[in-house]
Amino acid sequence: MSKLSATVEIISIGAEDLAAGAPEASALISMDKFLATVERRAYAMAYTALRDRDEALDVLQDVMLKMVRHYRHKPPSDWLPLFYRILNNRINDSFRARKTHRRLFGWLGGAATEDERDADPLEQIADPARDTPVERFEQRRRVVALERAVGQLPRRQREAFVLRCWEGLSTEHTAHAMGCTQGSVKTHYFRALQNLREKLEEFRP
Amino acid sequence: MNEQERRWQDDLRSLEADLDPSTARRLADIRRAALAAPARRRLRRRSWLPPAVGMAIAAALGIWALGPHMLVTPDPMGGSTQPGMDAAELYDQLDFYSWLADTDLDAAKG
Repeated sequence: MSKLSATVEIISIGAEDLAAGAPEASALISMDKFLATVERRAYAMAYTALRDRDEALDVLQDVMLKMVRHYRHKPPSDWLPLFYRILNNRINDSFRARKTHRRLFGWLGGAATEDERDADPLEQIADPARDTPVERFEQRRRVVALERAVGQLPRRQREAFVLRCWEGLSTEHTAHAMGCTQGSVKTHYFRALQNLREKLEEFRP
Repeated sequence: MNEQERRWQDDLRSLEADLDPSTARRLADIRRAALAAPARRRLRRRSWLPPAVGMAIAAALGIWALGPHMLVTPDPMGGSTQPGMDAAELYDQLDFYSWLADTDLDAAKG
């Protein structure tokens, strides 16, 4: 939660800057701070969904451009849900583009994602013979499994889980980011948790 | 958020910390480029100008090409001298043209 509180602090600094004058420069400085705070998490979220580094970076590029061009003059308190709304939409656009590409060029044998290319699961697990503490090895295994399980959730469940659990947004902000009601968020989130519990049964303490 | 959700949150956030340096650099570059975009956009605000000039030139050429067909020479007798005028009409107005020629000749002599 420390990063979220840092975001709130930055947002409030941004609001003071805007009030002080020089709105354009001030808005850009605030936006820079905001994006620097969320970019790593957003990239990790995009990568979890798409499993392709370059595609995830392309998504982030589009999202940041949209934020700066269209929303830098919006109140900074609106930026976080807006940012995630754009991110979700852009990730969905990528999925749609992939689907179309598969339909058109599937018979040629389309390019695999990084995940499919590096499909050997044994390679994903750290070598136990290495001088790595067992705890770290187990944690790494758990994280990899969780990341994959999140990536395999149905779209709306993934969005609800990522925003509520990973980012820690409130139900209200998640509903805004997903463009649905708070009731729908609760339903999708609950189903996502059930789904993940089933998939990650072996990692339960 | 219960204990399990908190652990999942911690696990997922550890992914951000494990980001490789080259990806982190790419992200910073992308952010800087995005922040510089509004300034670049202001400079390119007249990007509509070349297509507009092109359309204006095309329209002018079109008007010029159609011009001779559209121009109507005023006929003092109220008749039409358009190129589409048929032969019978022209023959009917021959008296007028011969009078006009005589008048011009007289004016030149006088």
